[in-house]
Parts: sequence; structure tokens; C-alpha cells
Amino acid sequence: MDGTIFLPLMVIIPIICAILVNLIHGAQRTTKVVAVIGAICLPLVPILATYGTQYFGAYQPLINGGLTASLPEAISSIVSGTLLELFHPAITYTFGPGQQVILFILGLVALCSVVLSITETKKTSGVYLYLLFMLTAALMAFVLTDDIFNLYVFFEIAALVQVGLILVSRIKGNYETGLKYMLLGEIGGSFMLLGIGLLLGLTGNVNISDIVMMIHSGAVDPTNPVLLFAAGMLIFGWLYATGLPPFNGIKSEIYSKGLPSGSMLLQSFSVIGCISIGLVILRIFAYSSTVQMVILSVSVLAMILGICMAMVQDDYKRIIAYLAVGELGYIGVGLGLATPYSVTAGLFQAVNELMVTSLLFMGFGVVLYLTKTSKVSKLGGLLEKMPVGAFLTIIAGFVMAGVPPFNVFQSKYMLCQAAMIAGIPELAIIMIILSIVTFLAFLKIAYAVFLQPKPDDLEISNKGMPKATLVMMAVLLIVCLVIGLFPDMVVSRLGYLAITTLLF
Amino acid sequence: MNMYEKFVAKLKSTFGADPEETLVSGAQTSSVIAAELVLIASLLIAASTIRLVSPALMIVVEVALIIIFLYVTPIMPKLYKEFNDDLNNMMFYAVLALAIIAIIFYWGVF
Repeated sequence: MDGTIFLPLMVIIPIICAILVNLIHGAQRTTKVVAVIGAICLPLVPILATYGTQYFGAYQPLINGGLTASLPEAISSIVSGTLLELFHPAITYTFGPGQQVILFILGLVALCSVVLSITETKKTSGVYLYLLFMLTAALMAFVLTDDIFNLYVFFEIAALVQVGLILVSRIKGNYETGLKYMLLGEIGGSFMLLGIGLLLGLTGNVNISDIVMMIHSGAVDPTNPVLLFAAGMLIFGWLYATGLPPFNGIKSEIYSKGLPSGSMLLQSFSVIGCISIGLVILRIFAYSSTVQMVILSVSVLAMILGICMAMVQDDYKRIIAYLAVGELGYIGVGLGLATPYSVTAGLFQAVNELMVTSLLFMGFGVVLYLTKTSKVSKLGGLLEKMPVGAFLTIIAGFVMAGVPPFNVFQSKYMLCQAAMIAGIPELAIIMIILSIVTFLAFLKIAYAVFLQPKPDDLEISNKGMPKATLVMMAVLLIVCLVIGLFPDMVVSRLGYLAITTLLF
Repeated sequence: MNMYEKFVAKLKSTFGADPEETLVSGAQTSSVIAAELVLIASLLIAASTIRLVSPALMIVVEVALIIIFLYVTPIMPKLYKEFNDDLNNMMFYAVLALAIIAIIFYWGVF
């Protein structure tokens, strides 16, 4: 069987699941079964799929012989030997080793998120599961698509779904946060669309490979100010998608207003948005040192601001949210250095962050589940109540800080090496200092929540920690450990994606 | 009043409505001090990358940063107040960033 049939299924399966769970939400048991089966498919399909390209509508480039037979001879002779022969007439999905790793990990996180939402709520909500599946579908499409307008459409779908996830959380202030996120999204999304429009106007294409081909072949002047302005607009959209400054405040706010299962996917949007839109920008504008400089500057600022702000907070959800924003800066540094090694390191960091931040949201989600508060100053003594959960959460914090032998140590080490190789050791020094501070910030929460004496006024639920959450956390930690011990199995695949991004 | 006491007083006025009544824990104080030092150190180190553009410009920026830090320290309580989830602030910084990006790129810097 041709495994490329699974390429569109990676997006179609979560969309079908979303529609089904929404339709049958009244039947609790059936909804749960459909959701779990659909969620299990999410990490499995990328493993089963074969590397290749999916041309929607079967419209292949003319050079592949797709439409040549139906073209009049006079037109064929004009088209033959020109760039037109290479253009992609339809939406194209590309699936390679790098995409496989990213989609597998994303599927795993989505699976954990769906299971978490089912186990931690008394009544399973079909609408909530619908939002989780739709966001997963959008993120899968982000990674696969080679069409910048298709990417924008899924970007908007994801933005709307994120607002939905905040609105249904029933956390105090969620409506206001949702509205603010939509308003800021209007700015970020609109200017990103302007950038895409300018690219379409200059190159006549929305297919990313075709745009790159037009620029590299000299059909479009790479120094054209309008083209560079389009780069600026795309970078602005990228900042909004990832939550890098100036959008770090709203990103940390939405993470803190989502339920733990929702926050896991909300942060996945930031990470996947960071790498997918970042790689598009790199592919098209890798020749521009200005683009690299802006990406690097913003990323360094995000790291510093995110991690310093995490130290000042008194709400553990906010602390994790700011740490997540800070960690996104590491990914940006990898992309901004724009060498095959640094981009590989950045992608590796992205894959690792997907898992680690999810782990922390799961671990502290249990704390919220048991105590109904996220204020660090009001918590304490939870080690006694959830010893295994506390142990897993503390290990997850160590993983995020880059403690060996886990995966984040490997990716941060690679990023420091990449900075040294690029001749900017200052970046390596900053990354090391900030990793230490990440460790400190995490120790602050771990001590306050688990180790300090329980305050008299703190009420802890007797429900106990859901076993499914423990299992999910253990699975993710094992994956982190395995990748940390054998990084080559991930790095070699991501390296392929990095090289194809920078060279083609 | 020594520097530490001034710092604690600043924290009290940042985190509580009434500085006289507000209690700030030792953990919180040390966290903010750590964040303050890291912010200053990281920005100074980051500014040294300007040497790749112009060593003279790097010296000017470093000296300017040191002078700014001397005058505005403690910075973290101010930053905490600035990142207060206010939509007006968020909009302001979003538009400011957009303006900076548009200027950088429309100038046609290659």
C-alpha cells in the first residue's frame, strides 16, 4: 500500500474526530471512545505514512506530466523549459523525516491532552474535545503544508479555536483574555496576510517552493524593498504566533487561563507556529542578514524577558507560561543563526519543548485539580498528598532546565555549540545563564508547592491523582529520557529538514 | 536605609496596595533580586554582540546601558507593573514593534 495516502489523513482524521465528538456529545461513553480512538491515531499515522508529497486534486507540476496531455501543443511549446513547468498548481503537502518526528511528538502531546481532558472532568464535553481536535488538525497542517496561504488559513482557524479553548475554561477573567487575544490576533494576523499578499503580488505564487524558486532564479529582485517589507510583515505575524515580544504578555496570559489539557495544546500552537512559520521565513529570506538579525534579537529578548518575568510571578501557571515563552527564545536563536546545525538544534529544542512544557502543565494541572488554586504563596505540603506526581513534576522541571541526561540538555548543548560555531559566544553564555535561572524559577515553585509546610487555610481534595495523568506523564518522561540518551535518532531526521530548508 | 531595604520597600509598593501592611517573603525578594541581576547581566552580554556591527557602537551602547541601569534600578518591579495584562499596554507595544519592523525592513536594509 502506498503510505502517502496517510498524508492528508493526518489532518482529516482529527477534523473528522472533531466533528463526530461534537455531534454525539450527548452520548458520553461513545464520545469518549471516539475521542480516545481518534487521539491514538494521531501519533500512529505519522509513523505509518511514507515520505512523499501530496498534490491536492491530483494537480501535479507540469514537469511531472500532470496536465501536459490536456494542453494544446502551442501552449505546451511556450511553457516547456520555463519556470511555469515547475510551478505547483495545487495545495501541496510535503512529508519527510523531519516532519515525521515533529508530527509524532505533536500527536503524542495531543493524545495526552485528550486523555487528560476526559479523565479530569466529571462530564466529558464534546465541544471541548472538538476544540482540541481542531487545534491539532490545524497544527498538523502547519507542519505539512507547502502553501503559504493554506498555512495562513489554518493559522486563523487555530487562533479562533484557541479563543474557544480559553472561553470554555471557566477560569476567572477568561472572557476578557479571549477578547484581548482576538484583538491582538487581528493585528498580528492581518499584517501577516499583508505580507503574504505582497509576496503573491511580486511572485504570482502562494506555493512556498515556487516563491523560493522565483527569487533564486532572479525572476524577482531579492533586494526589492516591497519584498523585504513582506519579510517584515511575516516576521510580525510570526511574533504573534509564537508569543515572542511584544506578544509575550498575552501568550502567558492565555496559557494561564486555559485548562491544563487546553494549555498543553495552546503552547503547542506557539511551538509549532514558531518552527513552521519560522522555517517559511528562513526558506524565502535566508539570503537577508536583516531577517536573521531581527529573528535573533527578538529571540534573545524573549529568553531574557520570559525567564526574568517567571522569577517575579506568584502564580505557578504564570511561571510555567513565562518559562515556556522564554524557551521559545531558544528555538528562535537556533533559527536566527541560520546554519544547518543551528536550525537542527532549534528544531530539536522545539520538539523537546512540546513535551516538557506539556509535562509541566499536566503535573501542575493535578495541583490545580486538588487545591483549586494556582497561587504559589497559598500552597504547600503537597508532596505528602501526591508523592509520585510530585516526583514526576520535579523531574519534568529538571528536564526543562536542561539537566542531563534528558533531551533538553542535548538540544540546549547543541544550541550553545551552534552559537560558538557561528562566532557569537555571547549567545551561548546567555543561554547557559538563563538555563540556570530556569532551574531556580522551577525550584521556587517546587519548594513552595511540594516541600514547604501546608498552610492552615489550604483545602486539599481527597479525590487523589488521576492514574491516567500519571501514566501519561511517565510515558512523556520516558520519551524525554530515551531521546536524551539517543539523540541521533531525532537529530538526524530534523537535520534533513534543516538542510532542505536552507538549501532548497 | 541600605540598598536591600530600599529594594524590599520597592517590592512592597509593587506587590501590595499598602506598603506598610504588605509582607514580602524572603523567597520572593531573593527571586526578584536574582531576576534583576540576570536581566542586567544578560542585557550587557547581549549588547556586546553589537561588536559584529561596529566595535565603537558597542562601547557606546554598553556605556549607555550601564548609565541607564544605575539610574533605573530596580527594573524588575517596573517590568512587573508594565506587564500587567492591560490591553492598552499590549496594543501599544504591538504597534511599536510593528513600526520598528516596518521601518527596519522598508528602509531596505539588506
